[in-house]
Amino acid sequence: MWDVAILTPLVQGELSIVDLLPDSITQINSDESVTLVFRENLLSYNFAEENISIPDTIVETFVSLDSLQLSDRTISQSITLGEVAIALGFPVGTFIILSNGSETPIDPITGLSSGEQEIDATSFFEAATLEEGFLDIEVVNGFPIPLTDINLQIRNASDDAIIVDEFVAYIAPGETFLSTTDLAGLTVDGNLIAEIADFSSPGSSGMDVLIDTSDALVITMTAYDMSLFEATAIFPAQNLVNNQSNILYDMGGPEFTEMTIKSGEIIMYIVNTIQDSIHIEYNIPGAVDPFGNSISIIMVVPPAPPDGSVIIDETFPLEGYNVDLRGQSGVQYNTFYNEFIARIDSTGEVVTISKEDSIQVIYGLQNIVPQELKGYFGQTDISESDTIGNLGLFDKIAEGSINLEDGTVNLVIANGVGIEGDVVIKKLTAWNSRTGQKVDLSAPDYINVPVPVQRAYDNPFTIGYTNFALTPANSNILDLIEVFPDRLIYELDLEVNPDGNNYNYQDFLNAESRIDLFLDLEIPLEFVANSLTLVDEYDSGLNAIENKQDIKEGTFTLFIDNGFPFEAGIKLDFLNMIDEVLASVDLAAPPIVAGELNADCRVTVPAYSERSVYISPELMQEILDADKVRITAIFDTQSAAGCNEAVKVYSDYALHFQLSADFEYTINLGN
Amino acid sequence: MRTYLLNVLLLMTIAASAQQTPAFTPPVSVHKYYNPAYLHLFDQAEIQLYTFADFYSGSNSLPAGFVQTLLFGSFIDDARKDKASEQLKTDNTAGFDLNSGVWFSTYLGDSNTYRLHLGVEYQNHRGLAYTPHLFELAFYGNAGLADQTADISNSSYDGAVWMSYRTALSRLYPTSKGLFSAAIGASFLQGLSGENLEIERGLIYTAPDGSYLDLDYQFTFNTSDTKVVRLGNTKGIGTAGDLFLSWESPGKRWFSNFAFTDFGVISWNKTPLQYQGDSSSRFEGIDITDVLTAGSDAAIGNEELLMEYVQLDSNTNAFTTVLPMRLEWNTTYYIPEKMISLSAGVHHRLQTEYSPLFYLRAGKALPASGTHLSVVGSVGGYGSYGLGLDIHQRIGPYIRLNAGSSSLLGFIAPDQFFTEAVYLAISIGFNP
Repeated sequence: MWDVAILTPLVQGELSIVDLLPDSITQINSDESVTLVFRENLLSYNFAEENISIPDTIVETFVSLDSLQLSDRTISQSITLGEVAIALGFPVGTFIILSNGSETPIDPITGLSSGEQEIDATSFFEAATLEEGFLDIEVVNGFPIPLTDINLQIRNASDDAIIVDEFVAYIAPGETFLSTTDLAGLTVDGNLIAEIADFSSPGSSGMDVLIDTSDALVITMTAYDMSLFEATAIFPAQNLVNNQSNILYDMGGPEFTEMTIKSGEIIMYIVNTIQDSIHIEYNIPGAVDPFGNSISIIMVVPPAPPDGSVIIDETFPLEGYNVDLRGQSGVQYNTFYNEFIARIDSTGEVVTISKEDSIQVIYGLQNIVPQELKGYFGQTDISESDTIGNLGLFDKIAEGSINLEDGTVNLVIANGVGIEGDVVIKKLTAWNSRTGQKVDLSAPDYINVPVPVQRAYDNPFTIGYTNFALTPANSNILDLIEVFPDRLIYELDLEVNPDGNNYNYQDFLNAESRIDLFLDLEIPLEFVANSLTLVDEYDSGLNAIENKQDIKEGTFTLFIDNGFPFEAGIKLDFLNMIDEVLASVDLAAPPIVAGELNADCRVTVPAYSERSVYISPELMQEILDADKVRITAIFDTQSAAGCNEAVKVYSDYALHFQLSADFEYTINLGN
Repeated sequence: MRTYLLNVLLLMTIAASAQQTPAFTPPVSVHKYYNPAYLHLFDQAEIQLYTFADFYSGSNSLPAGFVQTLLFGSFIDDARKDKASEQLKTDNTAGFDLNSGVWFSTYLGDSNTYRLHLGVEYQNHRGLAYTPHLFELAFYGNAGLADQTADISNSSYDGAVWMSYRTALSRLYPTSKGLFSAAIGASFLQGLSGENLEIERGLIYTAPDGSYLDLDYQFTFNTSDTKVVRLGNTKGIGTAGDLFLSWESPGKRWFSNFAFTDFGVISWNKTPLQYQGDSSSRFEGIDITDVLTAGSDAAIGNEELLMEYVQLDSNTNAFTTVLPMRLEWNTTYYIPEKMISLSAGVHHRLQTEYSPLFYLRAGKALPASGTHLSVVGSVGGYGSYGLGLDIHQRIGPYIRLNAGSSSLLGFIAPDQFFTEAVYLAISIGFNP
């Protein structure tokens, strides 16, 4: 470990005005003078987002079982003479069977019974509790003898509950008896038992009658007009919901005929408590994707579990869909046609459905943001006022003043929307928030004067430009610039379509449609600067130096060849992360000498200056501990006799600087 | 660590003592290294273990005290720098070697004719040739050379650290003219660090006000890489061969040794870097125009700037280091009647700044204690001349201790003398 004395140049460089200012804002003129050209987008107004809101079109439907029906059904049951004979037994029954095919008189018969006949009514339902419904009983006497005192009972096989109990006094051979039973409030099984108990016949009254044991007493039951409290049955296919309608947007003035959707979705929220699949179909025939396919959503809601429900909550994105807003008729506006169907599709499966079961459906379009719109955008008055901050052009100027010789500001409205309008600039104020200075624009040709705004055109898309040229001749624009504004305050009115639907529904906006307000600044760099103070900060990088303690005291010398007609004083402040000043190096006094203007009022020979500063060991360590360095440069223009007080800046002006150091350093090999 | 090692070695040179079998074992060298032929001649145990460490540094112009301060981290004040500066010559050299190792050897077969030797050694070598201006730049800085041109041409530096995984086979040749022993060895080399700088032309002019430096240079710098040196980080590989011959006269009055070791190279091929420059330029500081105009987000690496302004070419070509080969011959005459030995020898390390080191040794055996004490005088090597001691102690028939130094002057009067050396070796035999 030992000390060495180092004498070396450290850094050097040459800064011209082209180096100091970005190429994008400098314009070199033919005489090599420099003009500052600067564009700031003061306002970017999204007409669609600010003025057009597409309402949600949500439809809610609730369907319960009380609107469900079972189809009418008919079943028949036959009791043959042979079956009756068998039930009669010997001797009468045996006689009838033995007489089959012959003509013979039949004696009066009493105490006949059909026995219990099972009726399979499961084609109606497995079981049902009916709120309403009727059962027609038709009894056809196919026997060759009359029947009397017929007591017909139909009851559930499961619990013997009587469904039908009819007494018929007499039915002649070949005649029909008809009765109707009200089923309201009854619980009916699909498996029934029919029984004609204890009926009689007066016989053939001594007349020969043809005995045919296949002759039958036919009972036909027809159930109809059934509505249910609950049923276990095979339900027929049927629509639960069938909405076909035009949806009308209330836009409050604009009349749109076509919309391309930037974002948004169809929502489908379904709650199903029915133990059967629900088939959903939703169509918007007038909404097509870029490939020409219309919206058609088909989905199946699964059956609900017993005493439970199934919820379907889905969204279907609509990005890129183009929607015809002229409705089903094609001559409306703000309207689209849609169809929603929810149905049970008969599957042949037996399911249980109660009156308490239901299906709740919520569907529609929501959060629709248009990307493109066509139609008539209506008449709208828009007032905008705001303060625009962060104007970057002058943000490094801390204090001091300049007097400009010339400058032009163009306020440009770039209208990307296919609408006409009139704009009125009510107020424009330049504001330096650091100093508090505010200057209002005074421009009689523009302030509070309606100016037509050019509309955009489609196919091809062409932006309409409207320009407000503010010059020293028609305004106090230089006063606004010379306060070094970092903010602008504006108030303006825009009247949309002041002459109504002039373009016959051809107003439009598309994805690129914005209304931008640009500030185009052109300032020839010819000015008087009085203590113009520029401040900037950089990461010092010094904190990353290893073994900083090995760098000791030293003398640092700055050699400068100044080709600018400005005096300059430089001060370096070394800061920590929280902007506390750790150390300062002041080279401001005496200032760096300005380049002298020659007879042509140009600097051709740079002026040489040399400034040295001694850095003590303590100060050195504070500098090396700094995270940031803040450079403050103070400029004063220096004119010459025969030249304007305002000096002009040329592109070949440059400041060459070099920093050398004579310092002690401890070499530490790390033993 | 290095301080500790040196202290141990130094203490060993003055602390060894014992009282065992009187027998004369001639000293082998002024530097300690493993000589299979010598051991085959004088160690008869079936299994022999041997360990050693040897440190040597010297310069033809830098006092030992200056080197010690440089190596071990104390602050070098101006007085010490001034004293060293007074000693500078037109051509200055300095060198440093630190070697250590552990060996195992055993007979092959039932006879004692052949013996197999296996060893692992750590070797560290540094060599430097420099001009007075380079010394001044390095230790005073360039401020004192303002408005002057510093000439550092023909300066060089080479350094290497490597492990040698060694094997050797030795054989005895009993003849009427005495007992000969010969050994050949081969080594696999694991390169841990290698650097080489050759400055063919180096002129640096410093402007009086420091506003510029004029550089005129032609140099090549090779480095294995800049990462830390550790055993698990192999940066190069190589091989080496050795040859040893020893002889003992029939009357045991004459003894002679010849050694040619480390005949090999290391190829640094894993992560090599080569910088070359052959140019002249004026350095007026790093141009930070771009940095300033790009704003605070701009960043540029120091290495990139250096490359840009010194106009260095760099590549990743592998490079080769020729090992500092050791060449030694010595002869000892022993007068048993007076228990006195006289030795003469020459030791050299080729491919280094080492000059052939000629030495004379006079020793006295102390039979009662099994001790043999020697005084050594030498001239050459990395420095100029040296004066040292050697203590050789037998403990029983199978244990030998040897500690010594070819030059103690650098320890005794570090500001007046230029070399310092110390070594220690222990040999232990077993007959299982």
